[in-house]
Amino acid sequence: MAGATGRDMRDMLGLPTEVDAPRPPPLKKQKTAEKRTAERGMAREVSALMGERAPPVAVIQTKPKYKSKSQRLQKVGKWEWAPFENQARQDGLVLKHWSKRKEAKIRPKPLEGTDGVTAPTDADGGTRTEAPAPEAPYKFARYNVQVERPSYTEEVYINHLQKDGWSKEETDYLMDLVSEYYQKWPVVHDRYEFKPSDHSDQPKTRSLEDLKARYYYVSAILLRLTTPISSMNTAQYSLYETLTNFNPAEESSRKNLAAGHLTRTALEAQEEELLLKELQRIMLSQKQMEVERRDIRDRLGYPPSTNAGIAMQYNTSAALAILYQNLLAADKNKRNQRMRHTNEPANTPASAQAPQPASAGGRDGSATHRDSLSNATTTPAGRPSRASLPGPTGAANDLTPAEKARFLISPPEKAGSSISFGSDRLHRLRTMKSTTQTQKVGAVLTQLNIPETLHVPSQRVADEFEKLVGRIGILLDLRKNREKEENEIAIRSAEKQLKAGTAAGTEGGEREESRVESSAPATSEGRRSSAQQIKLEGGDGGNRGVRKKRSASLTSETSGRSTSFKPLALDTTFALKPEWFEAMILTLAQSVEDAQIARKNLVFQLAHNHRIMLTFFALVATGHQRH
Amino acid sequence: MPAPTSKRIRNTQLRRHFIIGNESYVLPHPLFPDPPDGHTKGWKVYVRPLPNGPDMTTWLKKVQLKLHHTYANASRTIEAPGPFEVSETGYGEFGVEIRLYFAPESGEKAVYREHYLVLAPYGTDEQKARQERENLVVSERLETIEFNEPTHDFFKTMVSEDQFEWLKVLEGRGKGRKKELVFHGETEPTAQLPERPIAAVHGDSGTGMAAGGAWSRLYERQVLGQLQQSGASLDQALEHERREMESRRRKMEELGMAVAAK
Repeated sequence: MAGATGRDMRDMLGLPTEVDAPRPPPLKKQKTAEKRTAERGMAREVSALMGERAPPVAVIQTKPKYKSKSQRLQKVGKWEWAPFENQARQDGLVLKHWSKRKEAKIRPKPLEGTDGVTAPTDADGGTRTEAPAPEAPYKFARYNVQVERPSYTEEVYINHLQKDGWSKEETDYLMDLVSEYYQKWPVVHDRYEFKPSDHSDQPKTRSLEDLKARYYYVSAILLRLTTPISSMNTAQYSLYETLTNFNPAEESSRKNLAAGHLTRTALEAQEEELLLKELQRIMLSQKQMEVERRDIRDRLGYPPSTNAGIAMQYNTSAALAILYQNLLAADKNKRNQRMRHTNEPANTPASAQAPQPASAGGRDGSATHRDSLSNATTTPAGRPSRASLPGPTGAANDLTPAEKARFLISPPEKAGSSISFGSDRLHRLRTMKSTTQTQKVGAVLTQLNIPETLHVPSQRVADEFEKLVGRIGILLDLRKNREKEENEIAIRSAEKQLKAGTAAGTEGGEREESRVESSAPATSEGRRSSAQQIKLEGGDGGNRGVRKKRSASLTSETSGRSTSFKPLALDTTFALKPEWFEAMILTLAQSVEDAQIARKNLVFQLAHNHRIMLTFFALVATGHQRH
Repeated sequence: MPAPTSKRIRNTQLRRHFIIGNESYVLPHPLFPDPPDGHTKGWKVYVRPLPNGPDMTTWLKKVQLKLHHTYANASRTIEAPGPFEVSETGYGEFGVEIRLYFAPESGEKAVYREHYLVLAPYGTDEQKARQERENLVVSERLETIEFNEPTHDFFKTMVSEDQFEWLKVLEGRGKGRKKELVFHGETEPTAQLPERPIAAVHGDSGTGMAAGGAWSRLYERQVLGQLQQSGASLDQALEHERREMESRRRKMEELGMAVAAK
C-alpha cells in the first residue's frame, strides 16, 4: 500500500479536509552557498569571499594547459640594417634603421633589370643583395599633417587680395610662415620678422590679430573665388562666415581682458564683487522706484511723463477726433471767459474767490444778463442759463465764479477724502509727528497769544495759520541749532582757557576739573544755554580757578534739552560771593544781550538765595537770642 | 444697498459754514419752567446755519445729540427741518457728541463732532461780568464742513437757489399784487460769511435761527489780524535768532583758529 498521505489520514480520522491555501508549496531548490568548484583559477576561500553570485566580469584565469615551448625553439629572427625613405621629407634623405626581415613564403626572384621590385636608389650607391619586401611607406610619414595653404597667382592677388598696408611680399611671407608653423599663431607671431625690401632692416611689427586678419581675409576671398557663395555647402559656408567675421579689435580686447583677469589681485576681485552687488542693488531699487513713481503719478493724475506715453494715447483716429473736440471746447471756454471778463468788470462780488480759468464753463447768452452793479451788494438779477457746453469735468463748470463763491465751491484739499472739517485742518496743522515737537509748537503758540481753538476755521484763516506754523518750525530749528553751536563755542573756549591755564598749572585747575566730572550728573534741569551755565565753587581762593568755564558738564547737560525760557537753576549750595558772579557772567557770556538776560536771571536767583540765607541767619540769630 | 451713487465730480469741493454751540442760563428762567431740584442751569445745545446762509437741511437731514448718560433718553434725535436743538436743565458741564447725518444724495456716512457744554461764565473779567449781567452764556464755534468730490445729484441740490427760500418772507409788494417771497434783509444771502455781524433777521426772538449773527467776515478779519500780529512777532524772533547765529558763527571761527593755533 502506498504511503498514507496526510489527506488519507485526515479522512480516516474524520478531520475536516483542509483547503490547502496555506499549505507550503513544495520546497524550491534553494540555492545555498554554492560550491564554486567550477572556477579553477582561484582558491576556495577567495571565491567564498566573493559571495553567491559570480561577478559580472568573471576574472578567471585559466591555467595554461601547457606551456608553449615552441617559441623557445624557434630560430632567432633576422634583423637587418636597412635604409628607408621618409615620404614626409622633400629632400630625399635616406636613413637606415634596424628592421626585421620577414620570411617570405614565396619570393619572386628579383628580375634583372629595372622593373619588378623597386630597389630604391641609394644615395651612396650601394647595392643590396636581397631586397626585402617592397618598401612599405614609412610608418610615421602619415603624421606629417600639412596645413592647407591658400595659393594664389599674381593676377588673383592683384585683382582681389590687395589691401592697404599689405604688400604681396609680406602676404607671401605670411603665408609661408603660417604653413610652416602649422597655423600656430603665437609661433607665427613670434617668428614674424618681415624685412620689406624697400626699407632697410626694419622688421615690421604686426600684432597677432593683424596677421590673423590678413590671413583670414585672404583665405575667405580665395574660398569665395573657388566656390561662389551660393554653391557653398554648409561647412564651407560656415567657414567662410567665420573668416569674414573676424574682428581683430574685438579679439585683442578680449585677450587683454583675459590677461587682466589672470593677473588681477584678490583685492581687485573683491572690489569687482562689491561693485556688482551694488549694481544689482541699484537695478532692483530702480525697478522699485519706477513702480513707486508710477504709483504716485497715477494717484496725482499727472499726465504720463514719457513722450511716448502721451503720444501713444492718440494713436487711433477715434482718439484723435476726441482730442480735437476737447481742444475745441477748451478753446471756446477760454474765449468765452475772456469775453465775459471784458463785459463785466465789477461783476464778481468782493468776496468771490479767484476763479479757476479752465474750469469756468462757457455760456453763450448769459453775459448780457448780468448787470454790473454800482453798490457792493449784488442782487440776483436774472438767473444765468445753465444750458452751456458740457465742460470736460462735468456740471461743476457750469457755474460762474460768482455763483461758485456764493455756494462755496472750490477745488478740494485732499484727493479722495469725502468729508472733512475746517477745524480739523487747523488742528492737524498744529500737531507734528512727535509729541515733543507738538508741545514745543504749542508753547510757542501760547507765547504768541494764539488760543487753542481758532473760532473761525475758514479757508483764509487756515492758510494764514499754516504759514505761521511753518515759521514756527523754522524758529524751533534755529533754536536747536543755536544750542548746538553754543555748546561748540563753550567747548572751544574752554579748550582755549585750558591751554592758557595749564601754563599757570595749578592743582586748583585739576581739582576743579575733577569736581566738574563728578558733579556733572548732579545738576540737570532747566539749563537755558551753555554760556550761562556756571557751576560755582565757593571757598576757593583767587579768581583764577573760578574764571574757568566748566565745559565738560555743559555738554552732557545741554544735549537734547528743549528750549524754554525757564530761569537758571543754579547749584545754590555754593553761591556766596555775588560780585564774582557778575564778573564771570560778563566775561564769559559772549554777547551783551546774553549777559543782560543772564544777569537778570542770576540776580533773581541771587535774590532768592539771599532770601534763603537771610531767613536762615534770622533763624540762627533768634535761636541764639533765645539761648 | 441704496441705489448706486452717481458719479462724483472731480476737483471740486463744497463748503458750508454752520454753527455748533450752546447757550446757558441761570435758573430760574422763563424758558425753563419747573426745573427739577438741584439743577442750577438751563441750557440749549444747537446746530445752526449761518443767519444769512443757505438752508442747512439741503445737506443735513438728521442730527443726533448724545447727552450725558445720566439724562433720560440721553440720545436725542432731531430730524429736518426743525431747529436742531436740545434744551435741558442741569448742573454740570460735559461733552456732547453730535452726530450729523447727511442727505442721501451725498452718499456720505455720518460724522461725529464734539462740543463741550459750557455753563459757567468764562473769559476776561469784563466778559464774565457781561455774561452774568445778561444771564446768558454762549459758547459757540463756527465750523466748516467740506464735501470733497460730491456726487452730481448732491451738487445740484447744493447749488440750487431754493436753499435760500427759508430766508424769504412773505410780503406784499403793494396793492393788488400777490404776496411773494422776497428777501428781507439788506445783504444778499450767500454761503460765504457775511460781511458784518448780522442782527436778527427775523426780528422775533433773540435766540433762534439768527442768533449766530456774530460770525461774520469782520470777525474773520479780526482773527486773521491776530494771526498776522503773532506772525510779526514770530518774524522778529526769527530775525533775532538769525543774527545770533551769525555772530556765533564768527565766534566759532575765531575760537577754532585760536585753538588750532595753540
